[in-house]
Amino acid sequence: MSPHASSLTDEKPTVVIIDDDPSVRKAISNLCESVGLGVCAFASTTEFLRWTVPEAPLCMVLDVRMPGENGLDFQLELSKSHAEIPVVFITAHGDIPMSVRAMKAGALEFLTKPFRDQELLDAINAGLAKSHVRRCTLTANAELLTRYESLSSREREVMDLITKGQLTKQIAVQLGLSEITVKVCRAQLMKKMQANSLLELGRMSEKLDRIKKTPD
Amino acid sequence: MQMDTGARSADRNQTAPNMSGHPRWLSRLPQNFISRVSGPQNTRSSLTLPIISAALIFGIFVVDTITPYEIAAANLYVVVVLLSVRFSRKRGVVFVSATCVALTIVSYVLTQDGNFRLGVINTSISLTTIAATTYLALIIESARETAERAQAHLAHVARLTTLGELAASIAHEVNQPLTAVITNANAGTRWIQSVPPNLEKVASSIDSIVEDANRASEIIARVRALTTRAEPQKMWLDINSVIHEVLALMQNQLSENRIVTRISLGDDLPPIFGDRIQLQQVVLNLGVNAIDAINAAGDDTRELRISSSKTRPCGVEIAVKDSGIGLAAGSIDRIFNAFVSTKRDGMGIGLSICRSIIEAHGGRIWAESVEPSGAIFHFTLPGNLEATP
Repeated sequence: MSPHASSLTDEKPTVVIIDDDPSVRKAISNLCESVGLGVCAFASTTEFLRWTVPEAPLCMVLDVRMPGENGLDFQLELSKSHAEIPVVFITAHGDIPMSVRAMKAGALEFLTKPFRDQELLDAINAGLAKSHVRRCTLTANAELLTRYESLSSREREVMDLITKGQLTKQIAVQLGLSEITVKVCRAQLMKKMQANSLLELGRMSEKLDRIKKTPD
Repeated sequence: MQMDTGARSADRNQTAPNMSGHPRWLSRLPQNFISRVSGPQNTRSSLTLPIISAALIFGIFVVDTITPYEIAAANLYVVVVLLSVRFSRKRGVVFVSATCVALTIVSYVLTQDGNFRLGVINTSISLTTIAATTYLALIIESARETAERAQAHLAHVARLTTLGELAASIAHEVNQPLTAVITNANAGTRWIQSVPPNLEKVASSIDSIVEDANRASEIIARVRALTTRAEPQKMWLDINSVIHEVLALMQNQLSENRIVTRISLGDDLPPIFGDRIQLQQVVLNLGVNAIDAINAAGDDTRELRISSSKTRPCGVEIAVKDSGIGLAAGSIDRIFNAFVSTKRDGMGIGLSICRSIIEAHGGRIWAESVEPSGAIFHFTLPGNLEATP
């Protein structure tokens, strides 16, 4: 998980376009390139699934009606495997139930062809920003988890008790250790967790609880 | 759609003498033109069955009268009643049955020989049998009517659905390249505005625009090729014969809707150089619209007038006038546009096709409202001096 951190900034934000119509695909690619975005275009969802997703902020422009798989169904599938990719839908004939379904499943925007270029670009930019934030959070979480995993079992025990608000003396009694040992242990784990204060450590512990509850 | 084909072939058989030289007859009519002009009762126009029935009635009557009371020949009238279902509607069946009852009673009165009491019993049995058979015959007839109505409705709905689907699919196909054109144009603008302008990308954007626009026009050309499958076949023809052919087709429809048809066709009309089938389509569509309008009005006056007359110098004008709901003041200018319909389930295609056909023949089509209610549709066609073959 750690290599994420370094690659966060050096990859170009990329727009993933999935549309079975070659002219529409080409045109949207052209539009995205004209504002300096990276583009990867696919004719089908299966083609996309064969692709190695790069470590960069991504936003997907997805056509609803495609041969093979329906864009709306694919959105559900995607939210399981690549939840960090926001989706902008484009459709030739959107009805209200369709758009409601897409928005409920977490779509960023639902545009009807032909769309205004600014509308699409705004949606894409919002998507890339969202993807960036999600990725940052993921990386930060991963980093925090690594730090926590680097603690010894004794240090983890002490950390849990500290964050529960127990005093050094109480911890020493509970774990059958001397107060000095607990203090050394605390200093050690604060260093490993890169926490400057007990308050910060508390926040980290809270975050860790949240990560453990919702894996990925 | 199975029944529909059946109805069409029935129509074809009936009108075959008029349509010689037109094997493609009706198959070329747009679907909505003929939606209501099908009727299985065409086959009943034959006179054979009524004649057989009349002969049977007479025969039974004679036998019943000359044989003694003990022989209940009147029971055989049930055969006639059942036969009558084959060639007539409810009223006809009731009429035949009433005749049979009356003749049974007359026979009873006229018969001289036999046991009088047995005669009363036999005659009562015969009358009961005739009544029961009539009842069954009427049930058969109404079941058949219901089935016919359901089939006609189904065929109509099926056509509308097909047309609707076709329209949606065309819209989708054309929308794709249009989206591409717009997006590429926008991208091109952005490439120009970038500093420094990327002219290579601008050029490639414009290339894409041309490509996509061509694709859109190809799709439209394909659709057009689909809808105008055959080239019009123009020949010199008598417009009155065209009107007669269409009226023959519409006869059932008109009588079923209790519409009085008044025809006043001009003599010595100049021949018209045109496509017979296309002109039939126009008259037929105007006629079907008239029937719909009359039904929508639901008045007591149910009248359709079709007239033809000579125009100067040597063209013809045809007018189709109905006593229907008429046209709203604002709609007269628009009704010939595609996808404009005043009918609840209309596609708005019929009149627009009429206009293109008439204009392709060098004529003109227009509509007027009629006081107190109704509408009149006119169209003109140029004759031999004005039109150059």
